[in-house]
Amino acid sequence: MRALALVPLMALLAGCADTARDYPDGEAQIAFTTACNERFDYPEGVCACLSERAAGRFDRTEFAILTHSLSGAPIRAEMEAAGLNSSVQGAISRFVSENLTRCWPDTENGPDQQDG
Amino acid sequence: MASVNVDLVLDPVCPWCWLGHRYWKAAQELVPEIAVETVLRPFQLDDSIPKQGVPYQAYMKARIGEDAQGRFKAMRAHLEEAGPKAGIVFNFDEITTRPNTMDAHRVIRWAQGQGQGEEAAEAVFKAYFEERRDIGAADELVAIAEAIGLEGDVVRDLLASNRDTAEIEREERFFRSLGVAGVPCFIFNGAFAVSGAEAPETLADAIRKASTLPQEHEE
Repeated sequence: MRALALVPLMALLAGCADTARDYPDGEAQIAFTTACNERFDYPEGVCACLSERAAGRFDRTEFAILTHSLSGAPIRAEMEAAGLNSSVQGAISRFVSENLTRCWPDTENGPDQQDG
Repeated sequence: MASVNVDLVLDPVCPWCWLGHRYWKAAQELVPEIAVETVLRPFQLDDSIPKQGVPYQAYMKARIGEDAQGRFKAMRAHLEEAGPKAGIVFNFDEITTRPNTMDAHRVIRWAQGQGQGEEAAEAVFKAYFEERRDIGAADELVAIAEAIGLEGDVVRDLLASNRDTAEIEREERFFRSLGVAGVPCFIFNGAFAVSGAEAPETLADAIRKASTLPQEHEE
């Protein structure tokens, strides 16, 4: 696949938009990786992988709540206060357990589910 | 004249993508002298939707928001007017389930591997928008696959696995990283993009322009 970094996209006039998601920035992703590494003893690169996947999936608010959850703190009230619907709440709650295997360096010897 | 390679980024729950795909086919007929190769690429407008899907009408109402209802209705009216002219029937009011589209993307990907990607995409669009079928359900996807000549048992087994899920997510992240935030998006020879269901004439012009650009070569 060629590099397309400078593709000049025309304005989306007749299409389906990804509803103006406010994606987490690099600083937020570093905070996620740091919190993940502090809490879990995962192999190198796993937390960065989780951060990358989460950044592509959640908006800034959702991502911040997910990052907070890595500390072990309860996040139910936080999700309710943010007005997140039940499907997003579930996605946040399940995120690490659902994505850990894909980020694990060797799935043959993958993680157990103690964190899930 | 050089050939043109196009990455068509789409999501099968996007009505503009179906319209855009029809316009894309029409555009190619306007420039028969230029060979065009189309590769369908995945994009999930909302990957937070659970595998079993969510109720469509409530989902759309919440997603659009009260403030944008007027604009949304106008866009839908445009689609309902433009659709029939392109041979498309949109039955928005009768769709019951907004699916997670990962599995539909996987089926399209497998069909593409058999040279039937666009046929599969058309079948999925039709199943969802016209026939109001749940394109997140394995049984429906297997039926769609069989209808275009794929082996249903093979597709069912593949759907039951995680096969190609990571690849689709990787592709989607790649295109998002380029700035694709809406679909359909047509990327010509990796050099420039047209976003949205533009008219066939506009897309044909883009094909002509792409055919004059220096060709890059895959590594």
